[in-house]
Amino acid sequence: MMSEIASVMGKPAIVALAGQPNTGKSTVFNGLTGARQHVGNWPGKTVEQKSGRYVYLDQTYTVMDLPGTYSLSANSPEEVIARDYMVSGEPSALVVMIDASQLERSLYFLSEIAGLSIPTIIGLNMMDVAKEKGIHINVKALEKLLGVPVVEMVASKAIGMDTLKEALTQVIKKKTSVAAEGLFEIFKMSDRAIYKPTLEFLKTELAAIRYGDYAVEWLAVKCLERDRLVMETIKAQMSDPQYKVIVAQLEKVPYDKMTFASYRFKWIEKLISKSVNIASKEKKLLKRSWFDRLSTHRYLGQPLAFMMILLGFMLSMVICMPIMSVLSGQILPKVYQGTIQGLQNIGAPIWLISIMSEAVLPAAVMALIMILFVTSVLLIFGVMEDVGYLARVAFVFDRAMCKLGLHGKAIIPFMMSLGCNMAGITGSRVIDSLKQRRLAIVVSLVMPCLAMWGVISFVSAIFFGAYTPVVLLGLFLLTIVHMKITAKVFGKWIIGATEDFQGLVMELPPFHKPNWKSILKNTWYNTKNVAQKAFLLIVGISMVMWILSFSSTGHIEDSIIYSVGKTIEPISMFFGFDWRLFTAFIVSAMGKEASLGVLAMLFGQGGGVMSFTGTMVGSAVTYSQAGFQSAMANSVSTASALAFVTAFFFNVPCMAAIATIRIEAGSMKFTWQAVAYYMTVALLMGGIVYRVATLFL
Amino acid sequence: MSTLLTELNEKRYGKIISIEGSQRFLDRAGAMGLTPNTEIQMVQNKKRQPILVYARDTLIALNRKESKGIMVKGVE
Repeated sequence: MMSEIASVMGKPAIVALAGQPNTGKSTVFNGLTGARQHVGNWPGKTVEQKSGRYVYLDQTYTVMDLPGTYSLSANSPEEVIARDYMVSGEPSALVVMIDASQLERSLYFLSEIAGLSIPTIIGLNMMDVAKEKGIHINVKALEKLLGVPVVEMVASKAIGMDTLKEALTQVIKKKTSVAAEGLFEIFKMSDRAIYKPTLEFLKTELAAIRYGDYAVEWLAVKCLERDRLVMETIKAQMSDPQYKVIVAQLEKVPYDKMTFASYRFKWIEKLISKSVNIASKEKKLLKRSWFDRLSTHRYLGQPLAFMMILLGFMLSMVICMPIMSVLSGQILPKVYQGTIQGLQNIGAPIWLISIMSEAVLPAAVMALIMILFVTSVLLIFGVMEDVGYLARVAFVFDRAMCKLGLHGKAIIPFMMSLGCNMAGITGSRVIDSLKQRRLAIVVSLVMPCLAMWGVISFVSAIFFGAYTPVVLLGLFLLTIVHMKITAKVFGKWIIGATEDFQGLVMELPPFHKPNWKSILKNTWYNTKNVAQKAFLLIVGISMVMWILSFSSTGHIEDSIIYSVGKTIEPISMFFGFDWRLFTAFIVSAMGKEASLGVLAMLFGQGGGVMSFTGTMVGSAVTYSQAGFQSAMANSVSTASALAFVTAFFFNVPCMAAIATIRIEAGSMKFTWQAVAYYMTVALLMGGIVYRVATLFL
Repeated sequence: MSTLLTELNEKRYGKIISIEGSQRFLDRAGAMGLTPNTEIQMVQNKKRQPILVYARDTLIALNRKESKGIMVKGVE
């Protein structure tokens, strides 16, 4: 069997999985591949690529999960990728997911594939919902009309998976692709056959064009629709006069996208009339539950979304808070002591003791906490996405987010960042477009997290006293300006997300019960993907920080960071920072919780650790609050303190946030761009505040 | 008699007469099933919010600005 398939295919079997969003594509992907998944980017594109493997009858199949798109019209990178891949000749077969309960709309995608020579199977999903709605599909009839296997599925209950696998082995052997003659016939014969001469002309003229594996009629129709990619390909492969002839011919007939779309639906309606029996053809008002109506309500929709996001955040905290507090409050200090003791007993050098106990250990614990937190956020918001609620959130926040060039769902990372930036960045996962997701991530970093306020209130109490509310108001106003500028800078120049942005045309999927199995699986695979990257990045940054700040004597003056800080002090003083404030600013990119400990050490008040990274072990640093306060008050001017608070406020949140950006944005380059941008802008803002403040204070 | 889609009252049915707008919008609307002669139901139409229409078994949210390019004819 195996050799038979291999000889038929002559190459490893690659299955491409395609279809519109909300057709259960990812459930099928998870069902087929299980944990054998890989997440990356499509080469040269800002689009997430998911692939996986499964074995059936001793043969290994690679599954490529193509981006979910409503059509293949080459308007977005997702559409281009899906189409290029399908015609590339690389996949051995294609599975097109169709939602049986929304047949007309989801068959549109198939109408764009009809004519490609790739062996195809149709996964007719959500058969249970269709039956409930009184839609009876004659699958045999549909198979006959389309000329390819149609597999009935309820992917959320893993029904139809084995049939799909079996059908795939068959279709790869028989190489059957979607019968498109009926569709082309409609294009030719509709509207008194107005397009017939043009299509026949194009069919002969385009016979020599090489774009991929398809029937020439497909190319002719795409050319008639003036598909951008197809026109570019034709232009590139033809001489100028030849191309001009084609364009002249196209200009002889009316060009209207809507006409062509309605031809496709004509084909679909024909298919349905011959294979589907709908119990009641009476017009019925769409029935929406009270919650559905509330979720899109003009006045109550937004407060409801705020509450749901807050609830989601709190639930994720409830899941991991107990473990987090035991980990960092009890286990870490004990293991910390144990590590020091153990290493001392075997006579390890002091630097080794320090690096193990102060850099590697707390960073590993931080990574563990991060993974736990990310997992619970993904789980909770995965449920909200799965049941269909988040599309409603996007709906009610569309207007507000649109002003920043962002998708309505961006409200989720924004709100969650007010609790924890790492949670916010993870929350951006609900935005499908990777470019839009990156933009939401980078803007969400402006939001101050809860841990920030400890330092802000400490410094404010020393320097600003009764003026603290004024300072906070100033920071709030700066936050809004910062968000707008950052959205513009990244949206326009760095990510280019604004080009892809379009007004809202979005499906609100019907509410349904959560598919627990699929959600849990998805969360688990994600966690596995996150774990390794999180450990490497967090331990890595921590090690760098350790190398910079380690001193065997415990005096900061013996560390590298001291010499660096001292050397650039003349420059940093221009921004109002002496070497200690500058160093504290840099180190605060590591974590906000540890910052008070770092400041205490810098002002000669903290002890007990040999490096800044050691401050991550909460109980390891000891300092007296009063001594620390007076040391700061005596050597820092109010203008400098104001500059420091500003720069600190807008600095990169923490190492865990950096690691999360890497994971959710899927790019190291983008991660460093964001980090560099934030650190630079924070310093500049601090500098401006300092310069202005010195005029008055 | 045809009117702008945005002027169709809630719970009323309409038939799409024509759709105009950017190429991108037309592609997207077409793929969602909003084509001439499609019957739609206005589900929600409130100022300062996108509108919600039900067409081809699908609940679709549409930007207010772009839905002004859609002309419909009221259907009983």
